[in-house]
Parts: sequence; C-alpha cells; structure tokens
Amino acid sequence: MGILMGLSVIGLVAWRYWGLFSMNRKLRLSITERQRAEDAVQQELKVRIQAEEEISRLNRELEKRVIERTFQLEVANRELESFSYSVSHDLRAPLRAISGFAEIIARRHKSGLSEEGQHYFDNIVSASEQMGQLIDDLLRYSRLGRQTVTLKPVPLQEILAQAVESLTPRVTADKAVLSLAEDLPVVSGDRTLLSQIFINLLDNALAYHRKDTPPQVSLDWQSEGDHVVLRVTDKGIGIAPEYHQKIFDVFQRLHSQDEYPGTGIGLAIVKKAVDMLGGRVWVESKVGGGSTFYVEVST
Amino acid sequence: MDRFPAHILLVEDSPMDVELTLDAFRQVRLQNEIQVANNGQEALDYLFGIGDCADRQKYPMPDLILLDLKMPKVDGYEVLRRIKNTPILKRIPVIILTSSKEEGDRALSYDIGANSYLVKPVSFEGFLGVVGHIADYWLTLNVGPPEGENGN
Repeated sequence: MGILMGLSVIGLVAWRYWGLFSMNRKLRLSITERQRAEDAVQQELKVRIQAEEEISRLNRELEKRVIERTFQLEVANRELESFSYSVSHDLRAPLRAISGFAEIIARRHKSGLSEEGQHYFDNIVSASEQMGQLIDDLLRYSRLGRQTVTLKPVPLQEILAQAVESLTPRVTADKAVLSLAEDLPVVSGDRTLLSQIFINLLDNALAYHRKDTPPQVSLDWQSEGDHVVLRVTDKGIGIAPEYHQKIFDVFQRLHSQDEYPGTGIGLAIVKKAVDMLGGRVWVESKVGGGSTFYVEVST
Repeated sequence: MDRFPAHILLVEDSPMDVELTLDAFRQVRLQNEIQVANNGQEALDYLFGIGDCADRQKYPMPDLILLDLKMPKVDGYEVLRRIKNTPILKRIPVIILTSSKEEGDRALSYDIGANSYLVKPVSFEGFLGVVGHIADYWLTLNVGPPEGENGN
C-alpha cells in the first residue's frame, strides 16, 4: 500500500513535470513561431515599401514624360499655327497684286479689250476675291487656335441674341423662320468661342435650304447631368452619311460656289471651338430630310 | 478744305505694292509728293540723311510716313522704333500700312508709337478707299506737328 502510494506520488509528480516541460516546450516553440512570423511580416513590409517606392518612381517618370510630351505637342501646335499664319499672310501679298492690277485693267482699260478679254478679266477679279475670302477664313481659323481659353459662366441667351442680330439681314432676305428656345441655359465657356459656334451653325442652317422653300431653323436644348446638349435643326437639303465627319474638316465643301457659296471653314471653326471648350459636336442628317447639329458643353 | 503741301515717304518692299500704292495715290491726286524707300534700310538712310539722302532739296523730310511691317532684314518695327527714339523724327506721323490684322502686330505697332494702323484690303477698290481716307484725314484734317526739332 505504502509502495503503491509512493509510486503514485512519484507518477503524479512525474506527470506534473512532464506537463510543465511540454508546456514550456510549446511556449518556446510558439515564441520561435512568433519570431518567424514577425520576421516574415518585416520582410513583407520591406517588399511593400520597395514596391511602393518603385511605383512612385515610375509615376514620377511617367509624369515627367507626360509633361515633356505635352510640351512637344504644344510646340508642334504653335509651329503649325504660326505656319498657317505666315502662309496666309504671304499668300495675301501676291494676291493683292493680282486682284489690284486686274481691277485696274477691268476699270480703266476695259474699252481696249474684246468682250472675251473683258469676261476673262472679270473672272480674274472674282477668283481673287474668292481667294481673299479663303485666306481670311484660314487666318480666322488659325487665330482661333492661338487664343487662350478661360472657362467662365456664359449666358447663352446673350450669345444667341447677338448671333441672331448679326444674321438678321440674311433671315429677312431669305424670308427665313428662325425660332430659338426661351430660357437658354448658362454654360461654362468662352464668349468668342460660343459666338463662333452658334453664328456658324445658324448661318449654315439658314444657307443650305431647299431652293423652293424658305429656311426653317430652330434651336433648342436639354440638360444632361452637368452637360447641356443644344440642337440646331433645319429642314434643309441634308447631308449624306458618308460626309457626317468630313464636313468638320477645313475647306471641305459638298457644293459648288454657284449652288451654295462659301469657303468651307464654318464647321471647321465650330469643331475647333467646341474642342477648345472640351465639348462635342456631331450631326444627324439625311439627304433631303434636313440636318440637326448637336453641341454638348459643360454647365 | 485744302491739303497742306505734304511730302510722303512710302516704305514698301514689294515693287508691285509700290506700283499699286502710287497708282492709288495718283487716283486721289497726290502723285508728286511721294518718295519711295524699297526696304527698311533705305527708309533709315532716307530719314537720317545718309549718302545721297543728305540732299534735303531732293529728298525732303517727310510730313507723313507710310510704313509696311513685313520687310526682310530691317523690318517695319525696327524703322518705327528708330523714328520714335530720334528727337528730330519722332513727331512725324507714322501710319502702318500692312496686310496683317493680327492682335500681336497691332499691339506692338502701337506700343512702339505708331500713329495709325491701316490694313490693306485685297481689292483695289477697297484700297482706293483707304488711300482716299489717308489723303482726307492725314493731309487735310489733321494738323501736323510744328516745324523744328523736339529735344525731349
């Protein structure tokens, strides 16, 4: 009994010790694990920091490249514009000579010319007038691009009132019906650019009417979030779908001078002005079914 | 109203432009009063009396200068600058006669001291109108500066 008791005490003590020992080992193990885990975290952190540094380095590089590229584009743009400016100016000098001397002959020396000769001189005079108009328009277009734009709230009511006033002679002469929506919105833009946009759109809408019917043109608008979309609609001759993009290019014309006079700069000016305002312009039209020009600008 | 007897100096590098301008002036009866400088340097030589131009009987000091802007080497701006920086010349009215309507050209011309800025129209008929107005305004209505030098 005594022995049995003794053994069991020893057993109990031994079990206790074993328990303590194994607990100790587990603790030690968990400390190591923890250390390892912490190391791993440290390692991970280091990798992340490196990655972040790499990202910000790449960002800086990218930013630098964007700045450089923008600068190059600006230079190229300026060069192009100063090119078209000088070309237009240098073209004007010989043109003045051509038209000047042709006019002098047509005025003062007409009697010395045969009927055919007179007719050809009249042709020279009117062709140089046309050329003068083209150069003026090219200058107007290139000047538009060199302008700096600050976006400010502009009441379209005022812009369109002026536009309509400048178009009044044409409206009266053609017996046109021009109807504008009331309560036009205030948009974020530039007065000169917005004037150019609407004068040209309205002028086109009035010009390209069917010969047998007086022009009917309307302007309305709707709000779309922080944008407004303005619509200039005519019941004119319309535009074939293959030209819906092309008409916005400089000097693109779909008609002869005799049919519809013009230089083909109007819509190019509209497009450029809209681009400068960060907006969009497009057309929906079909031949014989009239056209609707859409202008989207911010408010 | 009478036109005062005026000497005009036309500074223009394009020979055809010179011909047209002289023709236009003949139309408004101003033929005998115009001297021509064919470029900026000639204009400066004329105004500063260099070489033959020292003979003021033959090359009188102008009462009005018509100045083209775009000329090779010495351009209109340089001529204008020299005129306006020289006491004996600075009171002579200078009319810029150019084909440029550009804001920059207009600003610079007036900044340097141009007295007027006229754009040459493409059509001769329009140009005749411009020349007629020059004759009416600058040679008839406008009262010019007094004779003699300004030492300021």
